[in-house]
Amino acid sequence: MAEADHRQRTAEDALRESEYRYRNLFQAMAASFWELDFTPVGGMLRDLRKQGVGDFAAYFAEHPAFVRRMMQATRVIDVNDQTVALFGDGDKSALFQTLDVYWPEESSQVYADSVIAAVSGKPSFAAETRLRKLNGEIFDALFTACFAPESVADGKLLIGVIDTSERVRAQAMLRQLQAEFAHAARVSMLGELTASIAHEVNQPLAAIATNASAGLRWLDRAEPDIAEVRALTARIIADAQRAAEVIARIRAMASRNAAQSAPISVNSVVEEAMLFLAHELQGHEVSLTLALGKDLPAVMADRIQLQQVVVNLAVNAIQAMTQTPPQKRRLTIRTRLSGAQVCATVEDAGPGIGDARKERLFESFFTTKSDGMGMGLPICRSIVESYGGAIDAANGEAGGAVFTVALPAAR
Amino acid sequence: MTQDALVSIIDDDASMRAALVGLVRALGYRVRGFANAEDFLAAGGAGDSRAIVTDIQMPGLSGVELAERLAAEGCAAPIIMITARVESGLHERALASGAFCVLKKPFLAEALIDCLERALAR
Repeated sequence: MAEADHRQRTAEDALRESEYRYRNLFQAMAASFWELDFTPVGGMLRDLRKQGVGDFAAYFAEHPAFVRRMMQATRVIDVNDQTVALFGDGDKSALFQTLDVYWPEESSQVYADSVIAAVSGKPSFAAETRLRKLNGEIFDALFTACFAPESVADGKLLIGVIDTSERVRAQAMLRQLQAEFAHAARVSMLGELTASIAHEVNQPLAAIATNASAGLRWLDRAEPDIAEVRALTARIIADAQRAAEVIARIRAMASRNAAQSAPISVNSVVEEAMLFLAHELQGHEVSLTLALGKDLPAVMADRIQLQQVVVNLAVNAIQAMTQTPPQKRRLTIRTRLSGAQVCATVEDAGPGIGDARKERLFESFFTTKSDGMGMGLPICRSIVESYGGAIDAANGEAGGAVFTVALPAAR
Repeated sequence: MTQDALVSIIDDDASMRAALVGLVRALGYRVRGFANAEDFLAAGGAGDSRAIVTDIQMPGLSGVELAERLAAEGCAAPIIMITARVESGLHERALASGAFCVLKKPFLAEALIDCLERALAR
């Protein structure tokens, strides 16, 4: 009897100690922890099942009001000091409300996803989201939920929230900085192409002036030839259109617009980039070979930034061939699908890249050109990496440099 | 008499070529257009032309190289060169190759007409 008593006490002590440790942990963690009572949500989900709803994900997507009602049915029963500091204004009891108070509309999907994770038997759930403080301020947060079987059976849920607003702000600033660097590099690249651009604009302008003069001559004849003038006027319109297209292309390249990730065709980016370089190629007596893969999937990237990468690599290739005899100067651009990546290679017939340079090629301010800032390749790399891709330099079989840009194919 | 003269236009840019052909035709001369110097030579243009108007930068033979080739072959037709390029030394190189005059695009049609008429009156 005494022994049974002792055993009972030991078990109670152990339980108390475990409870004590858990409470301590709950309070002492640097993250915000919440204990929630979601018992009514369990009932709501069972009712749905009875009504024949099998696919909760689809149902939640179609019924946002139901998701909101589940939040309203989820009560906060305990929070730690970190939560009071993060969400409240010093009064812990003020936080004991329903979950919808902290859950802005924009984050409903994350709540719905966590419910789906719980009912499908996942042990835990984590997602980046945005949450609301009691004073109404919305901030970036990492939300985690743990679905321990015993507490779930009890209708209890432990969730953690980590304030990531500083990190998200830092990332946003980094992205902006990267975009500004990319823009600065584009403008400087356009500077290098000034002669070609002037040529491209001059060409239609010269045609317009010539057509207009010819038109005047037909009009000044004793019997004005209206048909000739009409044909010339149509040509003037076409030439003006062409000049406008050149300007639009340059303006897009010079724009400071925020980068926009969208599904784009690598082949069309290569073709557009080559429009920029037609006269640059001709002026340097470089012949161009395009070997573009058929039916390539799109990639997710900003069109102008990707164009910038291709133009930059092509300009480098052209400049690498200044010592190459003209008949051997060839720029080859290939695109192909390699696994789940779309690859574009830019190949020149220059002297290739020395081993000593290969390592440092993508470092900022590393350049072998006397007039370059050495920002071209680092910018190319940061652009490509910001879309989940990679850029690589090697020497081709014929000895020239080969740059490969690989970007994940869009699903 | 000069109205029967044949003027050859060589420019790889299709719209510029069409404009030049149109202008020279409006002046009342006979005119032929070529997309490059090789086509012009192959068509025997050097023998027929009273004057030649050529772009300088073209794929294949450049306007300057064409002038040198024609000079070597003893062709006396005056050559008017046009260019959209702005690089220094180009003008001098063009004149050195024997160009009758050199015009920078965009040029006034009057300047071309003046050159052409002086060339044909030679």
